[in-house]
Amino acid sequence: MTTRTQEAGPAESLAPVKPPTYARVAGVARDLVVRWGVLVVAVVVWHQLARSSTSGYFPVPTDILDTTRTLWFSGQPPFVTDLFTENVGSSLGRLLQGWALAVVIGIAGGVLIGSSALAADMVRPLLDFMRSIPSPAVLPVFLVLLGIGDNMRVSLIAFVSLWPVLLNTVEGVRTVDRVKLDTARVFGLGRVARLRHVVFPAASPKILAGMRVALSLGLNLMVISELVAANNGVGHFVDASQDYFRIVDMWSGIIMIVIIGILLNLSFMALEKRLLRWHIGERA
Amino acid sequence: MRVREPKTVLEVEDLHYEYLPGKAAIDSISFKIGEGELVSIVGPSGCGKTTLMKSVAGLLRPTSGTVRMHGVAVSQVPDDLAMVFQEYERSLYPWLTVAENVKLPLRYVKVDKGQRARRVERALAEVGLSRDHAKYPWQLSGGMQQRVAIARALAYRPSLLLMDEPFASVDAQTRAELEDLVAAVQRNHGVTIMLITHDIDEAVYLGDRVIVLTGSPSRTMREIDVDLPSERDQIETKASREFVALRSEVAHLIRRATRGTTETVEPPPEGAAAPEPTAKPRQERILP
Ligand SMILES: Nc1ncnc2c1ncn2[C@@H]1O[C@H](COP(=O)(O)OP(=O)(O)OP(=O)(O)O)[C@@H](O)[C@H]1O
Ligand SMILES: [Mg+2]
Repeated sequence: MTTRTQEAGPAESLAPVKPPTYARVAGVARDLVVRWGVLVVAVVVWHQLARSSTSGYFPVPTDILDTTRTLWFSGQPPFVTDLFTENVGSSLGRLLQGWALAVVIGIAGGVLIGSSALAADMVRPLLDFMRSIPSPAVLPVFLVLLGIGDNMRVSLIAFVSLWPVLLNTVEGVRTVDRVKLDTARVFGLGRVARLRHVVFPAASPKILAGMRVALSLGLNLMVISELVAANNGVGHFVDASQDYFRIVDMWSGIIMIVIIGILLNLSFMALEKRLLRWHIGERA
Repeated sequence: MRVREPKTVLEVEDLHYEYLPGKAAIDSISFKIGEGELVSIVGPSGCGKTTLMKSVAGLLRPTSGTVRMHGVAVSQVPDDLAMVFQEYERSLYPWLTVAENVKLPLRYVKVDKGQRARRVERALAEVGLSRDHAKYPWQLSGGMQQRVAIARALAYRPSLLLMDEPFASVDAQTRAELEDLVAAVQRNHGVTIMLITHDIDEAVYLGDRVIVLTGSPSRTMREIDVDLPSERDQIETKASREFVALRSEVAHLIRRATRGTTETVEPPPEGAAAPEPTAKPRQERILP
């Protein structure tokens, strides 16, 4: 029947045809090469260069990985060392506190500003300005204002993470489809209900994108703030290792920072993908 | 008010609307809709039909004139009014499933949970989407999305249902099905409906009355009673003499409206061909 065919969902009609097995294996292999090939080559080149170098400041990657494992991952189950708990724990604590503060303030402020076209137009240049300040440049300001304690670090992370969340929330709220808002009004949803059921969900793709940018900015500032007068944290560990010429240790700290960054980003993307299933589906 | 008319649900009196001061989108529209009636409103493109609908819904405040529902002047969105928007894709919420879309407005109506669920169930069954509760709107075809929008309006049990060119962007077959769906709903539930359309056949086929608007800025040009039997059929009714006569009457009026006269015209003498209007430049449209 004609209507049946017309009304078949796009999901069914676009279902990919399964290719034969050998083709699938070849496909997977090609995928692996594309994704990881350059990285593997880079590490191998690094290894060769480091081996042929006589400088003690240029250790081979296998040594770095070895040291990373013994320093950070050789403890009792769950296999992390005290060094890990102490430094990764304190670093993550600062980052997540600062980021969470930025998210709460950014979303609340963004909804408030974004609810009025005039307010948004007025505030936008200021937000762009704040966002454009190179973040390490604000460190001295925070040192002067808040001293060398953890308050300074958390505030610095929050300050720098705030702008992308705020800016994206304002834009997200500003660009909610008029028809969706009018629909809600016609069906009797009040101001709060509209905010909860229309504005937030509609703005969520932009808000989450802002939160992701904020997280990586926050990671940067976490490290930078720990290079100054900290007594723990992965950034401090890198700094201290360098002071004592423990070059391989220093590199293992850098590896840890990379691992933290990648894991945070992956977890956030997984969360984002879950929350925005509708958005991904809608645009497919 | 004529004596045989039922209770008036909607009364629009000398409605005038300007988006920009001095530039009227609606010049003057007046009409009434009685309980259980389906009134079609036709008019040339851009004449202010959506503006009229939004004023009735309380989304726009009339520059002058009044809109009364159940005798009370509308100053904000009335709480027993529902609407099917012209842009149906944009009026559904893509983050909610079909059932959740229909249920959302009911969360803010005083009905208990069980009854809410039953209403959703029944409305979706009525539009033929019983098996699609858990799907998302973007997984549905245009016609099915429009059914969701209709189900949402039905579940709300409004005393007035506004429909703004609800079938303008679906294919002919789906359009006919949806028209019959609306006709059935009106017959079975006695819903009062104000249907905006630019399709003359649709206006006559579905309407108890047709109101023709002039071109922009629009005025009420004429009201035509549709004296067709209430049981209608896409093929039989549309082939009947009465239907064809009504249809050409409306078509003549629309043609005249489109050619630019904004004067209210008298009905043509019985049997006579509609007089050609004197050529007049088309009214400038106010650009958004
Ligand atoms: N938000 C707005 N601001 C200014 N002018 C507007 C606005 N919305 C509509 N108009 C103008 O008002 C007039 C009537 O528009 P409206 O959308 O009500 O017409 P319509 O009859 O629904 O048109 P269509 O048949 O295309 O749906 C048009 O000239 C349009 O350009
Ligand atoms: Mg319109």
